[in-house]
Amino acid sequence: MKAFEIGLSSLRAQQQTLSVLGNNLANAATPGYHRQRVELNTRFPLRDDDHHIGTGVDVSRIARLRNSAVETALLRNTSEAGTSQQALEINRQIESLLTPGDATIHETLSNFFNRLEKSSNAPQDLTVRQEFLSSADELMSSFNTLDQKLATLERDVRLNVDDGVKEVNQLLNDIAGLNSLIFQTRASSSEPNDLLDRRDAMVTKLTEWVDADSVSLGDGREQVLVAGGAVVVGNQSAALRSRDYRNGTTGITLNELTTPLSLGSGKLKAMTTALNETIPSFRERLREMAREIIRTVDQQHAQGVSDQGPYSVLLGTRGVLDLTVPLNNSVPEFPINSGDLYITVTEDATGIRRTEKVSIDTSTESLTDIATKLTALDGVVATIDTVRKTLMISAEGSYSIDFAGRPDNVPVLTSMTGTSRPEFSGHFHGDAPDDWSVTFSGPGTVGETVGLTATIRNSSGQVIALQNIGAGYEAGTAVEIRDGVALQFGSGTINAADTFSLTLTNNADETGILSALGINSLFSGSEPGLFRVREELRRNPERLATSATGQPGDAINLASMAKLRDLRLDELSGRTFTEEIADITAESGLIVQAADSRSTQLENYQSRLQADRDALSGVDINEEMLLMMQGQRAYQAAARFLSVADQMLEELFTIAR
Amino acid sequence: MDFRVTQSQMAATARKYLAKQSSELFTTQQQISTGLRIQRPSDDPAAIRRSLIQRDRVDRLEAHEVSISHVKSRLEQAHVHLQDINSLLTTARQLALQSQNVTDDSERTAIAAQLDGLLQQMTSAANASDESGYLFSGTAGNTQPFPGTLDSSGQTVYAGTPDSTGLYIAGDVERQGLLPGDMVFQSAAREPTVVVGKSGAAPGTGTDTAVGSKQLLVIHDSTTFAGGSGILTGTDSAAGDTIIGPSGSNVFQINDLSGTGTSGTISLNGGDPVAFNNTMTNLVVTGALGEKVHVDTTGITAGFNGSVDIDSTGSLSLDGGITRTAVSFSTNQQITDPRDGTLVNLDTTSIRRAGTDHVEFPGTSDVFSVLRELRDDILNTRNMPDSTRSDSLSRRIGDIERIQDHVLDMVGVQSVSLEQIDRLESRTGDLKLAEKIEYSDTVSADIAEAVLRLKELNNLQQFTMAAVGQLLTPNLLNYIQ
Repeated sequence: MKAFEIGLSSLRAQQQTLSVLGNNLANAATPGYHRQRVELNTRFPLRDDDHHIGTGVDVSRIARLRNSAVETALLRNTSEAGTSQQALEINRQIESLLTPGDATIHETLSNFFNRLEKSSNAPQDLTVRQEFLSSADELMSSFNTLDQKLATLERDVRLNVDDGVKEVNQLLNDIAGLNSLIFQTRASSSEPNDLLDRRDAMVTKLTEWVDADSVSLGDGREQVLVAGGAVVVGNQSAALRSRDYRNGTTGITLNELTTPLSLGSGKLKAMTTALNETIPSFRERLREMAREIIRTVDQQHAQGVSDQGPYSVLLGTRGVLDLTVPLNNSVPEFPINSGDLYITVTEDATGIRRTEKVSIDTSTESLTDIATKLTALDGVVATIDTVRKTLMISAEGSYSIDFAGRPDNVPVLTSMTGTSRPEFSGHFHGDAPDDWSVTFSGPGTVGETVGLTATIRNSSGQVIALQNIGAGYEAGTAVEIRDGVALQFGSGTINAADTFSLTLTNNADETGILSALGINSLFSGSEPGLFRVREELRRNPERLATSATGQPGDAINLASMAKLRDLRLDELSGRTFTEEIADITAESGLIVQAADSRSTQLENYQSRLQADRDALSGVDINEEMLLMMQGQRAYQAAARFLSVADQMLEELFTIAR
Repeated sequence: MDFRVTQSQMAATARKYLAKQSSELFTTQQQISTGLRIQRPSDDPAAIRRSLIQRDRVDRLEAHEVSISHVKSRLEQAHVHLQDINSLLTTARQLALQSQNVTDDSERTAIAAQLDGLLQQMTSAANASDESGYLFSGTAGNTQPFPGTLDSSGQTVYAGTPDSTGLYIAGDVERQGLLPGDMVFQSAAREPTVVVGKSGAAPGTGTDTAVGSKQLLVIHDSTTFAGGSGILTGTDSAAGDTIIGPSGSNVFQINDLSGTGTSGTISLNGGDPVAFNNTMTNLVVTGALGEKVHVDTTGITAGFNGSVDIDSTGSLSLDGGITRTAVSFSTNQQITDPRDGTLVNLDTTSIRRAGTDHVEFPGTSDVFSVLRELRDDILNTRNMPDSTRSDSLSRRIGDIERIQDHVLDMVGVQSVSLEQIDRLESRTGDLKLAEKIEYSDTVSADIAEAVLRLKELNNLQQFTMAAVGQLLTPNLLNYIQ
């Protein structure tokens, strides 16, 4: 009887429908699950007399409801969200390191200059000096710690890259395995909807790491592409590798290839960007800033003298790479420019200062050449430590040396035939180096001859001062000429043709060689991690080069160091140190803000896409319930139908009996 | 067709917004708890940049205040000491005036003792120090400025430097701090030199460099006579003669009363005639003003009656005769004191007598020497006659007045510095307040707004939970029997 077949087909179809609905309900909260629908078809009709009568119902297929366009967009968005989420996570860590607070670099930088100013106003107070040196150490410690933490972050990210690559490779392997399973299932004519869902979920996971794309091969298997390259073809998968290059960058390569994949998105993209760009950029900016602080402060410190006055020995703390290579190529961290270095040699017994000029050509001269030039000066010996490749400058026997750039107190008097002896004092603070020459109005006696005048001219020949040294002038009285320099004449005579000159410099080291070689520097070290206050100063704060004269109350050099706070450096794009650290901090905030904004944007887009996806693929429990009721009723109806058919057959049996 | 919405979607949406609200609630709670709008750079990168620069400015201004306060405190201490010194000088002047009318030695001794006391107080004030070093030693802060030693001119040695200390405020000009001790206690305006004595030396036209006072030794070197009279220098002439002058500036009048040169009279510069005979080899002839010449009259030309021009050379010394300079009888002769290299310009044209003169350089004595010299003049340690001593006391009073004026000038200079520093302090305070306000505007949270936002978010969260509860509770399951 056909009726039984019809009823049975209905019972079977409704049972399968209920199973599918049950599965839908079971997976209502399963991420990535696509609801399934049983598609029913009428069975092929059979001819009965002149009529074609249906033979029941068949389940033609169980369909997975999926919108490919939305799924593709979702996949791409997931990958991009992976990039921004990962970038946000890393950037937040950088931001945390730079967030202002107690004992952060912002505070230590401010403290350093504040203590420096305090020390310049109480230079002879050793406690204040000690406080300043502590603040200098704290500043260096801040730079060292920041660099160390960024290096740790770099290492952590590097480890995460390795973990990520492992996970990606596992996913690729699993996808290849699923491909094989799906292929086999399809070969047996059934639709592997749940396997497809599992593969989609894996591809989605994969896209969180890399910009993956899946392309159907047409036979039920899929090809997975990463950064445009096939990584899974059918049941075969390739492996990714993380690779460190000689230039310090990190890349992701396919198998044993050396060319890095050009990742478009994903967590690995964010991590390699952080490793190759973001973290090194912050480290380099902070290093550059530390180096600039050290360079400028050391340069100024080297041009001062301590309470003990000029030095007998100045020991360099920074070495060169090669003693015989021109300085241009042998001092990597602190640049040295060609120019003049002025060293002051003081005769201890008389206090007479003599300035010697050493011209340095960094393109041709090595450290050995400079040492030779210095040694050629009367009273100076320069020696090289061949192991550490550092320079030591010493004063011979009865001399002392310094780089304070004070004018010679007794000028060269070879053109002075009179008996009066001129003497300079003070500290030149003009805008540019200059050469002064002094001539006289005529012969006469200092302090006696009416109208006897000294004329002082600058290097351009302009008269910058006229000094009465005749009647009314008290011999031995210093009279300020200009820019902090005073001139006095001793008693005696002047002849009309007498003359003398003086070289003045406002920068004893035009080359930067003193800071580059760490000679009489405040800090030592040229790399983060090694930056610190020079050991000699830590042990003995009295060695701090506070002055230009060696007097404990003279704080002119400390004051000059304190002025560096307002210095706008080309190396920092015209910013001061405070502005630079504020800028770096703001940038750390900006990259977080940008990543956060991008992340939020992608998250919102993800939500919209998810809604679009769920509009088709999501499980609505009520809907499934309704369908279940519908199926239940259909099942009841089929059962009733079978019962009726059975009763009809029973009637026939009754007639036959 | 209507957009299909699933329960998962509703739950996901609720989750997302509840998380967002919780995050905002946390931020708002942080703002209320800390009072700060910005917790980390990403909260407002531009504002964090601004705030860091503003914070640095505030810190910097606070450091300025500390520096200003330190220098100001030292200046105020120095100011107090200078005022003390001014009072001491007033007392010294009163004692000097009082001493002019005192005739009793014991009273003079008492006044001198009081002056000694003032001198000690003055030295103590000039050597005043604080925790940062001596106040009046210039930049040699660790060196006692006036250790009590005297130089060859009797001036107190200054062991400090001639440089003022400074107030260094980064970004501002350097301001003068403490004045060096030599400027405060030693420097004064040099006035015309005074020569006290009988040699005939007078101040020259050149500018001296010596300070305080010096003893000028005018020494007789040799005597020669114009020819014709037969008179010769006596045996003690070189050491004993006290006349100095070119030929003709001193004159003998010889009268050979015997006509044979065996006896007669001789007089010097119109003084009383002295009898001589031809046996005298070392006759002392004293002039009208007490000048003496030793002569040998054994060879007086017979019958010589007339005048004889005397040429007498001499030399000058500022170091007690160790170093001598021949008298050139010029309008400006420079004499150097080899002990300190200082110069004295003298008009030596009128030098006629040997002896010791006192050269004073008014306006150059340090504050201590002025008191010491006053004390010595009150005690008359130079054994001056009353009139000379009175003149000297008048000059000492003049010295005190000059040095007091000078100290008052220095008080004025320091007052100006203090006033400038006061203004700087006040301006720094104002700037700090303004910077603090700016900083606060940048970083501070609007608490009222934050509290309202907290309430708003709280309500929103409750609504969200209520809504999702409402949406998810009714289910077809409830109706299936």
